[in-house]
Amino acid sequence: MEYFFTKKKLNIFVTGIGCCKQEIIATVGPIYDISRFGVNFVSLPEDADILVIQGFISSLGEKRLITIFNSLKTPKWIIAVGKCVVDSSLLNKNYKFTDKFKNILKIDYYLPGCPPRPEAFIFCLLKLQELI
Amino acid sequence: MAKELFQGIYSSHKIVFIERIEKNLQFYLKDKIANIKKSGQEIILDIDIKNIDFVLSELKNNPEFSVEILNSIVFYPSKNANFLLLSLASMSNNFSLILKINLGVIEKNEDSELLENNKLFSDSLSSLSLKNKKYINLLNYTKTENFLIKYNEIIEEISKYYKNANNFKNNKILRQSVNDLIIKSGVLDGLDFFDLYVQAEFDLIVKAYMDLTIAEINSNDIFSAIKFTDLLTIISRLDYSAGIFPEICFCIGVEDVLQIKVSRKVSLIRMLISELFRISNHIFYIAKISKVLGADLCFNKALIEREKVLRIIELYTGSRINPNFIRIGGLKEDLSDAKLLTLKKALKEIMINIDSLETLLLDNSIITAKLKNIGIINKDVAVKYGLSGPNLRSCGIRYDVRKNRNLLLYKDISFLIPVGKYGDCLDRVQIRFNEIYQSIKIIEQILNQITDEPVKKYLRFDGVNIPRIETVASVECPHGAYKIFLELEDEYILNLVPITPSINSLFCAQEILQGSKVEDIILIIASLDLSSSEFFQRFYLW
Repeated sequence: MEYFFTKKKLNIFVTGIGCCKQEIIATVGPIYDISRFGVNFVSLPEDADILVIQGFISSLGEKRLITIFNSLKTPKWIIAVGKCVVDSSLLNKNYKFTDKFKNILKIDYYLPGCPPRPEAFIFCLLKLQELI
Repeated sequence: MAKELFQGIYSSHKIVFIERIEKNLQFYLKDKIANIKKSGQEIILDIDIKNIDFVLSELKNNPEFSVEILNSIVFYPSKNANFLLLSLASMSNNFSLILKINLGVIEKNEDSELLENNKLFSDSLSSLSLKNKKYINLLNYTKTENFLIKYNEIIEEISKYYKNANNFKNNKILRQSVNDLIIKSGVLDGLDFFDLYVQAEFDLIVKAYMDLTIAEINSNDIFSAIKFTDLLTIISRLDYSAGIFPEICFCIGVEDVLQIKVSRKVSLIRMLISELFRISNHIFYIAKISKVLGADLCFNKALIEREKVLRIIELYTGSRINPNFIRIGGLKEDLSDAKLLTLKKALKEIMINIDSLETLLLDNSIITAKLKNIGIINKDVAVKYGLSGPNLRSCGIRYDVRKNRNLLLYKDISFLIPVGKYGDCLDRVQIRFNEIYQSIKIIEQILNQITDEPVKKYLRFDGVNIPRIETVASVECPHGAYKIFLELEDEYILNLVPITPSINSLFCAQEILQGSKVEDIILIIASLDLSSSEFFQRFYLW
């Protein structure tokens, strides 16, 4: 019980199209059960504290990502999930997301893997809760 | 219900002689065709743009062929000219063919869009070594206005014979006209790759249009100047909800060209893992549907079952989502007896739990009332749009590549192809449950047939001289019939064109949304099981 009162409850919004999304959704289920740490998935960016960026991002997706980031309530954090965002895109080696957006978005946590396991995603969120 | 289906026996399938159809094509089309080729169970027909009218009318009206279905139209640039691929199929004669239309060389204008593409292309060129540059197609992907007008004219000619060809037109005007309601891409997997533009009167939809610009992802590297062996590691991302199927499809195509015969055990293990992936995809589909319906208990139960299947897949292949397990002429590794035993134990549990999940979801009258008589697809509409896979079978047409095309060793195994009746959302959910039971039945038979013989792991292709050659291969993935068209030279891939089933379901969704209510939009689209990864292509021009 102590946990619920001390740690902050977090809402997550997921963007992008990619295979990491399957593993992120798997954390909702009863086996991993991310909600025991006070973490929720929301479908409106206005409700969210954390923005999760994953997968392949098109030029329209980039524009939409920035509008979503601006509509998040402060304070806000960003987690970059998967090889395509952390390093270079799998389908196009020259596209490097982090280099392109390093002045616009400040990424708090990098989660490598292709795709990362659900345990890794939960571990990343717990680390972030310690930071908060 | 589950027990009856599980114990049912399927009658033997119709044998097709591709050679006979090939001879007939040569006889009827004579000098109108440039080249005809047989690759595995498919036929590739080369024609010039002038003869397109004659060839299409002959294919459609001649009772020897009676090709009723147009699956998709894909554009791809090659070394000397640009081509258009039409994927056609005949239900009554049980064959499918690829029509390759030569468009000739397209003049290059100094358009802004073209320059941008060239810049991207030169970037990827600089990263390659000198040796590989030989294998790159220097004719670039051109999206100039002149070309698009010409492209639309060709599509109009095709649409005289196949009405759904109109969907493949490049239509920017439509995008602006339909805009009463705009639903932007969602969070859930499978609903995230499109923006939906809806024109509505009160709560009834008059017109719907799905805009795919958000899924236009720059993917230059995967398709050109890459070795087979390197491609196999990343090809599963082309359909990540069931990653094994692009791998199998690619390997079947290459094995067919190089005339490599795989052993019986290798084919059996390929079938086993592809059925496991089919189960995991269908369970995830049920989870998504129950999330949309608001049945949280079913969502949680389905995720537990999916996790069991994914852990077995991880035990076998080393990865949960992207397997990288199939090799040309073999497999990454052999499966030991201990590994097979764990599957045997888990199967019984999965079967019982899925049966109880079905009763929990579909015996609930509130949920069935939400699903029944919504998003109905008639038989005619399904054939007109070229649907395949479970979506087609739910309309009452028994067609499965596994049985109809002699895929792998499915002819040695007895299983039933479940069929629906009305083609509504309820049938589409029911058919996924029935397919899971059949997949479990297939796996049980495979486990009894696997022997102890050693498995050949891989072949080396260093310094092999293969002449320039092209092939097609097709498999039955959980969304429908999945095809890959390939161009090879030496050990490099010049072109790789996936011809995917979700596009047909998407166009069909645009039609069945007309006349349905605004509140059912998400349910109807989720019930068609669209795979978002199938739309990451530079080959579609609409």
